Amino acid sequence: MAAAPPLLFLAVFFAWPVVAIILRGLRPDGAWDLAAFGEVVADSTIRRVLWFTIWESIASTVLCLLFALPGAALFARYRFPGKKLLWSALLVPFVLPTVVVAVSLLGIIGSGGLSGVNLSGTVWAILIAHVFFNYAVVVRTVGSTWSTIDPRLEESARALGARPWRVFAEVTWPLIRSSVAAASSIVFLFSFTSFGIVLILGGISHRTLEVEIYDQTAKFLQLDVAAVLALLQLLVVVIILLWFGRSQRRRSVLFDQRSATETEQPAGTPRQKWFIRSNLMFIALLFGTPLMVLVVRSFSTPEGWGFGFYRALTDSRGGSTSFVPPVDAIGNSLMFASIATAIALVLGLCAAWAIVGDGSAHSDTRFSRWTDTALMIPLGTSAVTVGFGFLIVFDEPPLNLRSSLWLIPIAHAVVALPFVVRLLAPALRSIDPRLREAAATLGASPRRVWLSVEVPIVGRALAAAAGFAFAISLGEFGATAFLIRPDRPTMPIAIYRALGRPGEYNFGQAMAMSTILMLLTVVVMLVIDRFRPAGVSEF
Amino acid sequence: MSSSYLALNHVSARHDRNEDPTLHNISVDVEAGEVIGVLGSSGSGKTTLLRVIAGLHNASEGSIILDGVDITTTPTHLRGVGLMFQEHALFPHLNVSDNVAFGLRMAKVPKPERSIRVVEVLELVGLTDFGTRDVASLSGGERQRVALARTLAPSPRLLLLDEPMGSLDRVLRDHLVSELRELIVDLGLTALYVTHDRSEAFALADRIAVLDEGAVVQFDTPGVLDASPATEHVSRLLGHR
Repeated sequence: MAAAPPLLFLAVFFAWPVVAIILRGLRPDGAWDLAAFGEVVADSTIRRVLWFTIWESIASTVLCLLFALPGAALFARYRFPGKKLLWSALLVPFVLPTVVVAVSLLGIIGSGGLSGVNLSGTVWAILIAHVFFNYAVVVRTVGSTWSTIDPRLEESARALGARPWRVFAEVTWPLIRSSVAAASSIVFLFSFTSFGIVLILGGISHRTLEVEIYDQTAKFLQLDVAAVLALLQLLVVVIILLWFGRSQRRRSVLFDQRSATETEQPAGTPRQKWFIRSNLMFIALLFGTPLMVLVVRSFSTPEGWGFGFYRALTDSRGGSTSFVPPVDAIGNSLMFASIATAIALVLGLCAAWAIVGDGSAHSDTRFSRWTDTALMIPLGTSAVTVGFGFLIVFDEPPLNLRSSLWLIPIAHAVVALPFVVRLLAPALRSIDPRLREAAATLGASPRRVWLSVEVPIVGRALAAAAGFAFAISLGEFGATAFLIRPDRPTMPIAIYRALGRPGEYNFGQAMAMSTILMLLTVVVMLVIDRFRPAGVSEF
Repeated sequence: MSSSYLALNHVSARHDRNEDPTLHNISVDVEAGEVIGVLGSSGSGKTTLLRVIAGLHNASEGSIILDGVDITTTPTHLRGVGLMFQEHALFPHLNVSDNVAFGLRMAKVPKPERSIRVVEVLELVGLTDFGTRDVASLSGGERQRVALARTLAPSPRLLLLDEPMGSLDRVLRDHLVSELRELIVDLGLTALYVTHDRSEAFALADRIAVLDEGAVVQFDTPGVLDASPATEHVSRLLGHR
């Protein structure tokens, strides 16, 4: 019954808030009433927001595929110095806090930015940020499938008279198509539920459903309208997930997989060299520039180079009593992240055990598959939905946690749990039952078997999962924005507040705080990479 | 020399994949309709030689003439050579017919003709009625025949076979080798057959080129090869002690 704690947790902290949102949207006054829903949907402003959210997500997905598919080919087919390191480093932008990325991009394409072009407030800023976040999703998902395709299939096609683009269209594409669909649906979902990026970079004219939900809640106190919007958003997410599930079943082609080292080759022709170089330059431009500019500008104060912006973080200027020195946010963030990690790990371990069972064939029951799916649902829903749901459920009896600090780490744990399970379950599954039997016949007691077989194998995955959960919690912005108490900001919240205040010193502080948050995240990711179990990297 | 159907003139290939050795100054002339065995131990460069002829690997020096035309820099898809790999490399997303029809589609053969040709070639390799089968459901021997049918369908000007029996068991191999020889001769094809197996080369080839460390050390008929091996290495490869 290891499944009970995680399922109970999700029932209370995920399903209940979602049900509450649905009821609030469809039964505003205690009776089923679709009028309110219809009114909101018919509203021209809301329609514009919905339309923008959809097309912005499609544009982000297309743009991302355009840039990242060549990147996937690069990692799948070529050998070049630093490949392994770069492959792991690509994960860093994916887990960087949205707020940090937004601030970094402002340093280049914001007003007074390095490029001299001010794109902040335009849809371009949003699209660039979405490519930044999702490039690695496409490259890693598609690239790892691509790398297992035997190059001799493509060579056979060439020998049979297929010109290069036909080789791609007739052989490569059909084999990578399902992984491209998988990556695209993830990119679409992430772009559709993008919150921090749009809030900071989109200005007043470009707003997604998420931002609208936040505004309706926090600015206009229109919880009923927000509920309808959250409902709309859930609907789209569910449709995408269903479509994705169906297309996966229909499209996937099984083929003999090669190991990636067998299929890669160094660049031979000048064209291949040019291909590798231009891809690497794109990666450097996309990731290197904004992050470097962020760090450099955080040290460049109006008084010259120095730690001015960093020292200002300890300042309790502002005069008002509610102002907290930003440096306190670091402590808050670390505390919330520790609690969230602990919750996610305990529940994730229970869940992984329940899904995998004892490794015997009959443990793959319908129940375990159902648990597996149930645990993945929060992955698709947005952090804003979680935050908003918490807000309307836990501010009244029977569970009034509104003023409690617990809501934040719990919300972070809900967001992190699917990732933790996805890392732990494959590790548990990879333990060959014969290993335990072998250890037992070699004279190991059950306790020794556990210590000498299970712990070393799962231990690594557990460390990696802990790192992931910690990084996710550190950077979480969407849910936190709804639940934060003014006196206990997290780092992303403090950065967002600093951005909201005018003046160079506040922007400087945002950059200094972003630099610290980025370094924390990078350190955590480096630790993960040391512990990452070989061969099971689903993210 | 100028009358030969396929001529390699002083062909060398630079190091590319780490596991492949370089080819040194290879000159070979093949008459039309000849079946040539390329015999060598693993790492001798025999696969690279085939890849160079197919255009999958660039020759760094020398030239390749096929049927009077210099094809040294012609891209693979325009060379019209049929290439069959050891592991067959069947397209997993296509069924047997569609695999066989692939080259015909690339050559823009109209559909009615294509279907006729596919049936014809499948019959030739003894797989009539296999057209709609999923390639994953085939046995090793059947896969080998489908790969052969796919290679033969567009009527290649030259047949390149890279250890096509490599993944099959002994009994099946002996049977298929003689069948393959008959087929190639009946169709009047010119073929290069790469193998590390002496008996396969002897059963199949009109002449055998022995490769060692990227160079041809002897190129003769099986009879001459057997009677007077040029080097210690050749005689060891032939199983003489």
